[in-house]
Amino acid sequence: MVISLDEDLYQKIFDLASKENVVYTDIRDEDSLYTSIDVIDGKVQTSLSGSEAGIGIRVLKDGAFGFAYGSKDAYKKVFEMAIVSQKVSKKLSKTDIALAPVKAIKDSVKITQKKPSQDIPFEDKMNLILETDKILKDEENKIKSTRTYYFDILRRQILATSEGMEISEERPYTVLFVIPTAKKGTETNQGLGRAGHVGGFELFDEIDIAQRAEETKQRTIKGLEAEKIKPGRYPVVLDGSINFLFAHEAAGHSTEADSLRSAGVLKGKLGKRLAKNFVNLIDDGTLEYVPGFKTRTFGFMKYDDEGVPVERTELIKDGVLKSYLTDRASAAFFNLKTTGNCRAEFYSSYPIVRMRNTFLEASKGMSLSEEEVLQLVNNGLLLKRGGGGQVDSIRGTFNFGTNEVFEIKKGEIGEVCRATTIDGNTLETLSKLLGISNKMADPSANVGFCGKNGQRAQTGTGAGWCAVKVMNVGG
Amino acid sequence: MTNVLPLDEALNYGIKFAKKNNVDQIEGYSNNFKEINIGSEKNIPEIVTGISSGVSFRVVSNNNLGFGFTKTLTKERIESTIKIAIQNAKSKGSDPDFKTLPIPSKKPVTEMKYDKNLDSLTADALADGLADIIQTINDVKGLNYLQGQVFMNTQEEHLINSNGIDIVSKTGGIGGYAAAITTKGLIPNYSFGIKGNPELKDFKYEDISQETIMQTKRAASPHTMNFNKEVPIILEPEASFGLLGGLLNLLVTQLLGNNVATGATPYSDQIGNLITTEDFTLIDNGINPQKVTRSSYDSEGVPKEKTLLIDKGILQTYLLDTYYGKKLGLESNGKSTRSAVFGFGGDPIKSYPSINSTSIEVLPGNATKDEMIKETREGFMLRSLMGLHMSDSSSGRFSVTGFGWYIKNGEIKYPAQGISISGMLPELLQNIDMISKESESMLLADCPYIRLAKVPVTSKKFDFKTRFGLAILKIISTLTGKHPMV
Repeated sequence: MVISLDEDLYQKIFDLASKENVVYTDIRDEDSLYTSIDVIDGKVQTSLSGSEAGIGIRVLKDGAFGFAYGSKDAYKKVFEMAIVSQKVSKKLSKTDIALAPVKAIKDSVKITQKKPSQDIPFEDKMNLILETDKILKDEENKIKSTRTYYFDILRRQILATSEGMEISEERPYTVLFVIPTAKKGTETNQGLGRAGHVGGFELFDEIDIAQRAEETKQRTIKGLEAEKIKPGRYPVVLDGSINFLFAHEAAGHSTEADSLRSAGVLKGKLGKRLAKNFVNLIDDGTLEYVPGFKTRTFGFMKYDDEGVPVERTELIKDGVLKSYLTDRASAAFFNLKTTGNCRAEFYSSYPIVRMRNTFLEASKGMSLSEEEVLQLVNNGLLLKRGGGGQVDSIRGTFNFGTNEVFEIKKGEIGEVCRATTIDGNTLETLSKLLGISNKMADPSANVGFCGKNGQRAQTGTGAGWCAVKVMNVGG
Repeated sequence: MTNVLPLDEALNYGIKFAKKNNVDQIEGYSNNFKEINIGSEKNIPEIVTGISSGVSFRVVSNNNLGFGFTKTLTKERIESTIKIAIQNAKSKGSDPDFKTLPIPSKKPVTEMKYDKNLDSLTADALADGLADIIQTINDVKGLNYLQGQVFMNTQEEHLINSNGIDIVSKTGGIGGYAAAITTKGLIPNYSFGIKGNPELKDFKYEDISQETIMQTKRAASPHTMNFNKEVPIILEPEASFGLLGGLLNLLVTQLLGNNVATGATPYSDQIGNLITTEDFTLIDNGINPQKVTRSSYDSEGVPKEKTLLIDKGILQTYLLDTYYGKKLGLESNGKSTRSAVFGFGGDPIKSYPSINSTSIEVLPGNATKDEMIKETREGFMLRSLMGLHMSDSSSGRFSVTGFGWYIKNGEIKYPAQGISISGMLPELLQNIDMISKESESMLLADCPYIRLAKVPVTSKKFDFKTRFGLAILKIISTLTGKHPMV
C-alpha cells in the first residue's frame, strides 16, 4: 500500500485558490500507518494499529496565512475553512507574512527499510517485546516492575504547492524503550534504555537489544544502591546524550525563529559571542549515519514540510551566534536563509519551526578526547543518559533529568551516584563550557521526541562529551 | 474518495464485520471532531480550523483486547482495521484479568447538556475575542502581550458495544490563554492566565486578559538569589494542579488504577490508610458542570461520577475504568478517557481508552492566604513549575524548577526566578501544615493554596556577566523605549 499522488485533487484545490486570489497554497496529503505495543511486567497492556489520513491546506493571501484540515473527500469544505482562517488571520495580523524564496522541487523520497516494520507479523513484534521485557527482571527481585514499549510509524506524505513543488516522502520510524524500576523499601530508581532509528525492523539486527536491556537493568540496580548527591553546584561533564539534550532543549529552542519573532533570550543576539571560540551549536538534518554505527540518526530527513531541503545549520560558529532555525516565513522576517526546519507532526498540524539532529561540537582542531574532557573538570560529576527535559526559552532556564551519574575524582571516573536532575540558565551555561569532544555517541540510543505547541517531532542525536565549569545539580 | 462511508455507517459496518469474523465482543467508537483555534504570537496569528472524523474498535478475541483505528472510512480500510485488531487480540494470548467489556450500568446518570450556542460560534467571533485580549493587555503601561490562544471544540461521539451500550453524545467548550511580558526591573519576566468553560455564556475573554495582567504585574522585577535550605513552600493553586506542571498532578498519576495494579505507586494496598495530613481532601469530579471535561459517560460508556479519592487524609479509592476496576476487585468509577483533553494534546480516535482524571477538587482549609504568608518566617510561594514530567511517579521523587515569590518574616519580599525544589511527594503530603480558605477555579481543577512545612530549596543568583548583560539591555530599552528581547 503506497500513497499515490492525487494530482487532480491538488489541481482542483489550486484552481479554487486562484479564484480567491491566493498567492501561495500548500497541500499536505497524508496516509500514515502506526503500530504500538506496551508491555508492563511481562504482560501486553495495550497494543494498537491504525491509519491516519487526511489533508491540510495552507493558503497565503494579503500577507496572512490560513490553515485548515479535514478528510480528502471534504476538500472543498477544508479549502473554505482555510480561506475563513486566512481572513481571520488578516484581521489579527499587524505584520505581513512574506515567504523566503525557494526552488520548486519535484522529488519522490522513500527512506528504505531493509525489513519493513509494517510487514513484520504482529506475533513476531510481540514476542520480541515480551522476550526483551523478561530480560529486565532479575533473579534477586531487585527490579520490581518492568515496562517495554515499542512502536513503528510509516509516515507517508505528499507535499504539493502552488509554486510547483511536489514531494512525496515515506519516512519510517522504529523504536523500543525499556524501563525497569528497582525498589528497595521506599526508595526506587527508574531506568531508561532506548533503541530507535529512521528505518525498519532491521534495527534489531543492527543492535543487540538483549544486551541493551541487560545493561539498562544493571544500571538501574546499581543506581538504586548508589548514594544520593547533595543538591548544589558542581563542575560537570555531560555525556553525548546530555550534550544532545542541552543543545536541543536549552540552546536549540532558543534559536527557533518563529518563537523569536515574539521574544526570547537570543533575540537581537545574532553576531554576538555566546561562548568560547571552540563552541559550535549544530542542527543537522542531513546527518544520516554517525561513523561507526549502522542505524540512521533520528533527526534525519530529506526535506522539511515546506519542501525545503534540510541542511547542516551552524547556529553558533566558533562561539558566535550565526543563525536562527527558520521556516520560510521567519527566514523572510529576519532576512535569513531558509534552513529547512519547518515541520508538522500530522496533516492536521500547523507547520512550525522544529529541530532535527542538534548537538554541541568543538571547532576544527579543538576537539578533546573524553579523558581530556574529564581532566578539565578534575573533581565533579559525570552526568550520563539524559532523561527528558524542559526549557523556558523566554526566561532562558532549563531543567533536565539524568539517568546515570558518576563522581569524577582527579580527572578519573569514580563511584556511581543516584540519578538526578540539572537545571540552569542557557546563556550562563553556554559561557561556562570548558571543552568538547567530537567523538559521537550511538545514535540508536539517542532518540528524542520534542514537544512544542502540542506537536511531537522526532529529533537526535548523541554527540561528544563536554565539560561545564559549574552547573546546578538537584536531589 | 468515492467509496467513503458516512461516519455512522462506517461504525456500524465495522461492528457487523467484526461479528461476522466471530469476535467474542466488540466495541465501536466514532468521533466527529471540530476545532477552531485562534492563536497569535505577538502580532503573528496562527489559525487552525479543522474537522476530523474516524472510527476505532476494541475487539475481544481469545479473552483479550485488540484495538484498531482509521480515519479512512472505506469498507476496505475498515475491514483491514478490524482484521488487524483481531490479530492483535489473538497474539496477546488469553488475559485472566480480562472479564468483559462494560455492560450497561445501573448507576445514576447525570445529564450534561451540550451548549448548542457553541455551534454558532465563528472563527471571526473568536478572533475578535483574542483581539480584545491583546488590546486590553497592551493598554496596560509596562506590559506587552506575548502570545495567546482562544479555542473552541466540539465532539459528536457514538459508542456502541455488543453488551448493549449505545450512547450518542455531543460535548464541547470554549477556552483560551494569554501570556504577557514585563520588562520592569533588570530581568524581564512573563506570566499567563488560562480560562475555559463548557458553556458560552460563562466564558468571558476579559477574564483571561484580567488574569494575565494581574499575574504579570505580580511577576515583575524578579530576582535571582543564592539559596540552599529547607523552608516552607506555599503552592499557589496553579503550582498544585496547573496544566503547565502542577506538582500534585503527580499524586493523581499515583492514584491511577493501572499504576496501582502494577505496583508502580506507593499507594497500592493503601485504601483506608492515612496518606496525607488530616486536612487534605481530594475529589475527582467528572460531572462538575463548570468544567470542560464534563459529560454524562466516560469513554467506554460508564456513567461519570464525583469520586472521593482522599477523605481527610484517608485514601478511599483509585481512579478506575472497567478493566482495572475488576482487576483490583473494585468497580469502575467512570474514569476511562480517550486522551483528548479539551484544546490540548491527544486525538480521541487514535487513543486506546485509558484511565485519567476528569476534574480535580481539593477542599479548602481553615487558614487565609494572608495568614499562610504571615506565618512563614522564610520561604517561597510558587506559581509555575517545570520539569515535572521527569519525576518518578512510582516513588514520587521529583525535582522541579519554578517561579514564585520570596517570603521573609511573614511578608512577600520580591518575585524570585529559578527556584528549584525537590523531594518525595508522599513525604511532603504528610507535611502539609496549612490549607487556605480561598480556592481558585482553574481549567481542570478547583484548588486552594497549600503550604508544605519543609521542602529542600536550591537557587542560584545570575553570575556577574549575565547581570551585566541584562543591565546593558535595560539601558538600551530605556534609551530606545524598546527592549531588545521583546
